[in-house]
Amino acid sequence: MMLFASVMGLLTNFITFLSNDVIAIFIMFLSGFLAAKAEWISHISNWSKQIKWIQAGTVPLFIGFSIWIWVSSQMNSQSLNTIIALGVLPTTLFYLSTLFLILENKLIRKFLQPIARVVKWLLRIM
Amino acid sequence: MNPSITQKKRIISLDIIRRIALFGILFINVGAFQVLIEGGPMPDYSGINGMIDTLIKVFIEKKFFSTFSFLFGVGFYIFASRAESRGDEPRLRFFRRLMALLLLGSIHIFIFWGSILAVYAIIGLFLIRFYHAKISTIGKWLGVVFILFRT
Repeated sequence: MMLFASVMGLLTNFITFLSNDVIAIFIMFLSGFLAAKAEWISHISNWSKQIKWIQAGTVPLFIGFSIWIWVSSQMNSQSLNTIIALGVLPTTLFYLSTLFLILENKLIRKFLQPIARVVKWLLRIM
Repeated sequence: MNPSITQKKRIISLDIIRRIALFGILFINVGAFQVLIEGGPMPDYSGINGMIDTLIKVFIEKKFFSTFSFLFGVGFYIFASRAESRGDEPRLRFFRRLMALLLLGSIHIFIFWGSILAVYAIIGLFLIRFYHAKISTIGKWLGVVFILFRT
């Protein structure tokens, strides 16, 4: 009986999660697939102008949502999770466009490579 | 097919972003790990910890699993196109990989309730249909799903 209750609890949590985040995950899956298929990922330098446009378009949203989340968090707002969920896509696009542009710089890439290796190593031993 | 991706070379930028995203996911799960190991409810932070918790909400929460999802989509194309260049059936290979992920995720969810692996596997199944789709078709689908998400 307890096992059944715990399975049902897990299932309920799982369904709640799906209803909240599943669409955002699917949009990002499809965006990543599109970016790879359209050869944007393998030729970032050719697309830097367009990526800069994405970055410029998402930066006001990123700043706006950051302030909104900060204020809502300070006020212990009930709608905090909804606001965070709304800000996911523009913020992620801002992060990705910024990271891809920054990593075009060889010096920065060289600087960040060991950090990437450390996390890879940590995940291997964990 | 994109020859520069089908080659056996790594795209360094992708590797770095993947590690940053993993680090973000690790960051967001620290509180849950504490609950898992020490028991009790999710800690209620105050003072400097409260400030850090707010910063995590602003800059990290939900943003990095979304970043990781983007990389998953990229990874699907790279994996499938490499399989195709070897003469394998790319969709079948990817389906098998997703089933392995689903199995792993189903076990993992009993160890850690916040596991996202099974969710990735289920949503990943919908990607298979898009492998041979035109870029414009994928773009249209993306637009429709995005509008639905926003409404």
